[in-house]
Parts: sequence; structure tokens; C-alpha cells
Amino acid sequence: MIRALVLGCLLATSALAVAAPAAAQPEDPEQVDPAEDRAATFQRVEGPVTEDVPGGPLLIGAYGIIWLLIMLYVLRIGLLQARTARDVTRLERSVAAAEKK
Amino acid sequence: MADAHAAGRSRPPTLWLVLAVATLVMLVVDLWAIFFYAPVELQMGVVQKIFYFHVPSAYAMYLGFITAAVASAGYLIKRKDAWDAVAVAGAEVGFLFCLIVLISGPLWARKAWGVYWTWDPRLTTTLLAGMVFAAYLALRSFGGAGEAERRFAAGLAIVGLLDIPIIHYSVQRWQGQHPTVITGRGGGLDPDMRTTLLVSFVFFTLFVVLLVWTRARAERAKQRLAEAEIEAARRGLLEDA
Repeated sequence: MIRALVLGCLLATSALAVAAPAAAQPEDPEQVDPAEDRAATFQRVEGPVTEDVPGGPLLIGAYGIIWLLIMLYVLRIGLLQARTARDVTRLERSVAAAEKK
Repeated sequence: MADAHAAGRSRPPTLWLVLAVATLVMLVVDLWAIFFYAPVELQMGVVQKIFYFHVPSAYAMYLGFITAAVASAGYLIKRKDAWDAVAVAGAEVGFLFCLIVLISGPLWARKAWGVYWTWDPRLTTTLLAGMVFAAYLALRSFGGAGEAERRFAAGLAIVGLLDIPIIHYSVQRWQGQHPTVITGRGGGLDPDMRTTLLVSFVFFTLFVVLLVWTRARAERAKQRLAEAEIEAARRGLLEDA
């Protein structure tokens, strides 16, 4: 009984495997879904090849931003040093005034 | 008030001036090498020249974050303000170069991968390191200057250091899209490209040392000024200020 069931399953599977490629073929080539067609094909470029993403502006943008960040950081250090020097002067004046009294 | 004088009026050391001049010279040489000596890459074109600042910036980020973590460990052990000043300087400089990496990388990726950002392991772990040290800097800026804040920030910098080897080896461990042209086996760089990259590494090494040194001096000056103000107030010299 089991042997007969296994044999039946194998025969059914084989029949499906043979029939599947034929079933996958569309009956009428003109009835293919356009979306399926777009997803499955690559087309060659006609005429000269051009870049979709220009590299020059990206390069200039990258180096521009890098130098802007570096300059801002150097400016920040300079301002910090200037503020410290100003505070030192203020402190010296306060101490000098207090010592005169 | 000797501390106050030392804080605001000290002239830069001769070695600092030599380093600044050497950095400037290397900057000029590096820019010349990038734009006039290094060849244009076959597949990506001129945008590949971002590479000569992008990769050394990542290296500079490592240097900054490692400096911050080592100095933080030094501060936790010795409790000297000088260690803390170096830690702040390292974290700031590391974060600056982390920002540069995270901005220049996507501009290159737009051309190379077609997208500005992808959740690639190396990109994600670099972003994570940036967020850890952003938290460090936020804590130092807005958390007050107390001992507890400094110690907590020092711990954060040491935790942030754990991310550095993860960033570096993420490409090998988890694959991803990030290129790996620089490897222990010699890499896949044209000889002229390799020379230019080497020049960039030399420039960035000098630049990082110069920035960390300058920033640490500024931070140390601020600390000395604060100490002088406390001392003057303790002596009753700041009543009219």
C-alpha cells in the first residue's frame, strides 16, 4: 500500500515537472505584463555613454565641506584662546585694584 | 597670579611653530599630489579623489578617539587636569574627523553605490562611534565642570574606544559594501595612488598632533584661569569684580 502511494507521488511529481515549463510559457507573447518585461530586461545605451551622477560637483562639495569644518574648528580654538586671554586681563585688573585698597 | 599669566599669555613653544610650518608645507604637497599627481580612477572618475581625504580622516578619527580614551584613563588614575585637557582635545579632534568621514563618505557613495547612505557594518559602527563621542562632548559642554562629570565623561571615552576595533574589522567580519583596497596583503592601489595616499597620511598625522596640542593648550589655559579665579576669590581679591 505504502509502496503504491510512493510510486503514485513520484509519477505525479514527474508529470508536474514535465508540464511546468510548458505551463510557464505564455500562450500569447503580446499578453506579457509590461511591468514584468521592464524588470527582466537590460537595454543598451544608444549614442555616447554619459554619467548619470556627475563626479565633479560631488568632489568639490566634499572638499568644500571638509575645509569649511576644519576652518570652523580652527576658528573655535582661536576664539577660545582669545576669550581666555581677555579673562586673564580682567582678572589681573580686578586683583590689581583689590591690592591697591 | 602666575597661573593666570601662564593661562593666557604664554607664547607657543618652538616645536609647535616647527610643527605648524611642517603641517602647512605637507598640506600644499598633499593637495598638489591629490589633484595633479594622482591618476583618475577608471570606474569612478574624479570623485574617487575624495578617497585621499576620506581614508586619512578615518585614521585621524582613530587617533583622536584613542588619544581621548588613553588620556581619560590617565585622568581616572592620576586625577591631573592636564590629562583631562588632552582627553577633551582628543575627543573634539576625533569627532571633527568623524564628521568629515560621515560627510565625505556619502558624497562618494552617491557616485559609487548610487545611494548616499546604506546600513553597511562599517558605516553603522562609524556612526555609532560618532554618537558616543558626541555624547562625551555634550556632557563636557552642558554637564558642568565638576569632578563627577569629568569622571563619567572619561568612562564614556573609554567605552567609545571599544568601537574602534569593531569599525576597523567590521569589513572583514561582516562583509558589507565598503571597499577594502588597503589590506595587509598590499591592497589594490595604483602605485601613484598609493604614494598620494601616503602623503595624505603624513599630512593628517601632523595635522592631528597640531590640532590636539593646540586644543589641549587652550583647555589647559582655561583650567589654569579657573584655578586662579578660585584662588583670588579665596583671598578676597575679587569682591569688586
